This record gives sequence, structure tokens and C-alpha cells, in this order.
Amino acid sequence: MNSSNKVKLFTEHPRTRSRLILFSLMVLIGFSLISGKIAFLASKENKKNISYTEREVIHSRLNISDRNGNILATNLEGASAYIRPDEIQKKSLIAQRLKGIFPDLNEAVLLNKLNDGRKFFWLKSIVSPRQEKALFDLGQPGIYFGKREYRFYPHGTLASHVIGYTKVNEFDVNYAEISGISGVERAFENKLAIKNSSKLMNNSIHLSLDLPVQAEVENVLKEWQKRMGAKAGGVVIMNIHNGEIVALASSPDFNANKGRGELGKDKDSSIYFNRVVQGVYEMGSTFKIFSVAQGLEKDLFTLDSLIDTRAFRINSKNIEDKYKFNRESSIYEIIVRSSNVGSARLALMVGEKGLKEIFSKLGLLEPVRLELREANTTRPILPKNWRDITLATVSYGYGMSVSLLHLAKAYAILGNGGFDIEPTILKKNHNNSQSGSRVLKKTTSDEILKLLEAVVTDKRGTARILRSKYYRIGGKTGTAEKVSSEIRGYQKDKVVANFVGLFPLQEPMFVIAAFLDEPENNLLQEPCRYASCTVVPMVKKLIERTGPLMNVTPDHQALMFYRGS
Amino acid sequence: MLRFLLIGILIGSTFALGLWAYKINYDSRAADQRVKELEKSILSANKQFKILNAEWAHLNRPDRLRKLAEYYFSELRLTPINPDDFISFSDVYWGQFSESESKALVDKRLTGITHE
Repeated sequence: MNSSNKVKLFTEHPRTRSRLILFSLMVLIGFSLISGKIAFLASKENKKNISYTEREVIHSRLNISDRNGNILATNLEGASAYIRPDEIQKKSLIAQRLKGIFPDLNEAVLLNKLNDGRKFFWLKSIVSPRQEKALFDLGQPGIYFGKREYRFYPHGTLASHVIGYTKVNEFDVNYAEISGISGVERAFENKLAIKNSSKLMNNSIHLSLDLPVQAEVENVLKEWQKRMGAKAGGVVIMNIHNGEIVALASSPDFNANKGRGELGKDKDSSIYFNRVVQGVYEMGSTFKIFSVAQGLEKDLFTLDSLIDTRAFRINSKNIEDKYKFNRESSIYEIIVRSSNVGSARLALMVGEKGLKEIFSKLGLLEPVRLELREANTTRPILPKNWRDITLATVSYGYGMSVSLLHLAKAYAILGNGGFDIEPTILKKNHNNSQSGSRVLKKTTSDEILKLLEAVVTDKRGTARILRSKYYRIGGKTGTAEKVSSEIRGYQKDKVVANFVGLFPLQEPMFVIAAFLDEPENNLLQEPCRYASCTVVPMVKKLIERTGPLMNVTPDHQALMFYRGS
Repeated sequence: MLRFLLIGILIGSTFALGLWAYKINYDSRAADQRVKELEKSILSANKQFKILNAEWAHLNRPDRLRKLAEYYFSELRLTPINPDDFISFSDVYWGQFSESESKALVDKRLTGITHE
């Protein structure tokens, strides 16, 4: 076929031409329809083709885990059960059977609910897998299950005050929205609550806590609280360089797996109170080190300076000591044997301005900026006016109340070479980076550490029981009588005993602060309430148990000190 | 003749195109279904993973392990870690190696192992 033929074909048959045009037009319409559909599908894709997982899991919550990835809190899927009474025929029989599955239900109330004409009611907001199966096996129409996520704390009471607890905000047959009420659950609510979880399924928030250390601390704390008959107690262990809290225990504690109402029935609601973070107490002699630190900082005295330690009066109040001191004692002796008179004299030397300066440097005048809301709302209770008598009493820990966390932070700054730190509950990536600015001189920190070690190593030291053959430990004891609610003044038989220590001293790494509320050691010849015989033995056990867990290697020098005495 | 050929080719190709479009459509639906099924199984695997993780954490809770260690003490002799369990380098018997040699040996083995 040549080209002239082809031309002829189109020109000589007009009908062919119109047919061809018609045909191509139809093809064009056909293709444009197809491409239109493609464009339509493509534009719609965003809405329709969202992946299945993202559509399904709407309400979820991240895990909370410790620094090594051990799960402390997770979300599990359970079922809720609800009933549509009009689908049930033999109501009394069903009520009886349901009572058999849920012994805590009231059969009469249940029967009433089935009969009073309502269309719908909740049987249980969460049922266990076994109960779910039992309900299912009833084969009864009218009983329905809804998907329900719930928060599970695999370790029960462990670190309950740090982790906090949650509540169900709003719920429907198919979902329940959980939100945090206290602790980490509340502090990191925005990070924990995620709307689309498919990609974040196994992500979690890593806390600075170390699970084995935390467990051991709680174990020892509970044991000693029982032994000393104490009402409550608390311990915090913190890295003094980066502020990571390795363990924080407050006793009594709670099991967040149980509903709040369920717990509240038989126990006092104070189990939810975080005594380490929220509880403010007069701390007693642990405060004595602060005026010494300020004096050293301002070169007002050295550790060998002699101070008058005879009892004296200011503002018509007597300041005196329990034990006999010489006319004059060195600062070393004042701290090691814990002299109130000496401490009061030092505070008067340092003055109001000086005392406030050191308190503010150590963060004792404001809430600790820990991530937990409980910490941010806990203000220290400060004296209203700073008369001479106030200076004197505050210097040995009366008239001013702070939390145990405050105390731990203050000692951490004293022990880490004088750098400011912010306690944190989150794991830090750079393990020992010193982030804060310098607030105290290095020499002050060194001298303070010497003093604190002497409290443990000196034969007259108040924490001499703490002398360990494994670690070099330094610290200060404190015993404060509690204010009476009935009579004006202090009660002799009710004390708060505490201890703050630093270890291992060859290269200070951790601060440990512990307290017991109303302890009494009856295992000795006569009952003893002082920190030296209640909290100090507990701290010794805590350090020797947790030290190895935190990779603190025993020190040969400690053994030498131990044997040398 | 030519006209029939042309019409034949056109009809044939339209039919083939239709078949092809139908097949693609069918395949894409099947693929979509498969994706849904896979995502569903991933989701349920993830859920199971979560449950197993939680169960593992629950079974490994320290107070349970402590009780188990006490219960099986006669067989396992597990005790809490103690400062005595640390020994210094010089306490280890290194046989024919000198101390510096043995240190180098240990360092070599330890590279790559990080401690928390």
C-alpha cells in the first residue's frame, strides 16, 4: 500500500472519516474517564488508605522503663463488659450466674438493673481474661465486650511514687482514655499519651531509675522501717554530677494496679504522699554543715579554728548541748560530735546574709526543679523573720523545713566540687557531664568532704557505725524532734531521724539521703531514737547492698581505714 | 480488507487493554487486602509482643526473683551481689603472663563492651 492510496481512502469516503472521528472521540472519552477515576482515587487516597494499624489504635500510652530498659509501666489490652437487658430473658438466672463469676457484685442490685427498663449498663469496666471466658461460656445474648486498654505496672508497688498512677478520663464501649494523675505519669503526660501509636509501639520513656537498685532500696527501707517501728520512711540515691536519681523510695507505698477507690477503703490516703519529694521536715543536725560551708567559702575560719562551745542565751532562749563539750572546740569537733552550741556560734559569725546566701546557692529556699509536679509545688517552709535566735536554731536544723530531696541536692553540690545541679528523673545520655555552673569553691567542697568523712571515721563521730571495710563514706546525721499538734513546742519522744551521705569518697559519685519518721531502736540496752542508731545502720546496709549494683568498686583505702582504728 | 484489519487490531487491542486493566485492578485489590491482613497480623504480633514483654517484666520482678533464689538456694546458691565479689586485678592468677601482659589481654577482650 502506497501513500497516495492512503490519502484516497480518507478523502473519497467521507463516512469513514466521520466514523473514525467518532471512534477516536469515544476512545478519548473512555481514557479520560479512566484517568479521571485515577486522579479521583489518588486524591482520595489520604483518607481511605490510612494503614489499618493507625486506624485501630487510637488511644495508647508509651511504656515507662528504667535506665536499662526494664519495663515499669505498660499498656495492655483488656475487655470491658456491658449488658443490654432487653436482650436477656431469664433475668434472675443470669443475675445469679453473674454473681458466680464476679463475687463482688450485689445480686439484688444487679437484678434491679436488669429489670428497671434501662437499655444499657456497664457490668465491669475491666474484666480479667478468665472472667471474660466465663462470661463468654454463658452463651447468653445481651452481654457484650468492648476493647479496653489499661495500664499495667509489672512490678506492683516498686517505685510507685515515682511512676505515679493514672485514671480513666472518658470511656465508651470501645475505648478508654487514660491520663496520668501523679508522678511520671502526670509529668510526662504529653509525651506518654500518643494518638497514633503504630510507629511508636515499642518506644518508651527511659527513667534514670535503676530497677535492681530501686528494689534493693525499697526492700531495705521497708525492713528497717518495721524494725525501728517507724511510721514512714524515705530514701533517695542520686548521682552528684549529673543529678540523675538512681533510686527514690517512699514508704508506705501503693500498688497502682489496684484502683484508687479499692485502695482507699482500708488504707489511709497518705500512701499516695511522696515523702521524699513532698514531705517537708525540720531536718536537725544535717543543716550544721551549711554554716560551716559558708564560713569556709568566705574564709571566716578554718577547720581548726576554735569556737566557744559553752551554753549561752540569745533572745532569752538557752542554747545547749546534750553531750559535754570543752570550753572551746574546733570546727572539726563541732561537726563530728554534732554540737548545737558550736553550730549556733558559727551561724552568728556567718550572719543572716551569709546563711541565706549559702541556702540559696544550695537550692534550699525554693522548690527543687525536678520534672515531677510534686517537687515543683513543694516549697520549703522558711522562718518568717531572721532574728539571732532564728539564725542559731536554723543552723542546727530547727525552724526551717525542707524535703529530703532538697537535702540530697544540697549535699550533692557540697560534694561534687561545688557545681550546681538539677535533679532529674530522666536518663541522661552523657553519663557524668558536669552541666551546672560553679557555685562553691573547690577547696570548700574538699574541706566539707573531709569533715563528712570524719563523722564516719572518727571514734566519736555520730555516724561511726557506718564505717565500712568496703567503701569510704562520709555523711552527717540529723535528729529533729517533731512539733506537737496538741501542746506548744516539741515532743521529746517523737523524732524525724535522717542521714545524708556521699560515697565512694575517693571519687564522690553518689549522694544518699534517708530518713525515718518516728523511729525507735529497741534492740539496744535502752531505747534509742537518734539517727546514729536508727537511720545510720540502715544506710550502711543500703550502701553495701546497692554499691556493687551501681558498679562502685570497693576501695582498698577503706579497708585500711577500717583496720587502722 | 485493510479496514477489517484495522478494526480487528483496534478491537483486539481494546479488549487486551481492558483485560490488562481488569487484571491490574484485581491484583491491586488483592495486594490491598494482603497489606491489610499483614498490618493486622503485625498489630496482633505487636500486641502479643507487648503482653509477653509485660509478662516477662512481671515474672522478673525483683521480689519474685529474691523469693525464688531463696527457695532454690540449696541447688543454685545464689546470693545478692556483695562488695566482696569484687577483687582487684592483682588478686587474679595469670599463669605465665606478667601483669602488664595480662592487663593488655583483658583490655583487648573488653574493648567493645560498655558498662552502664
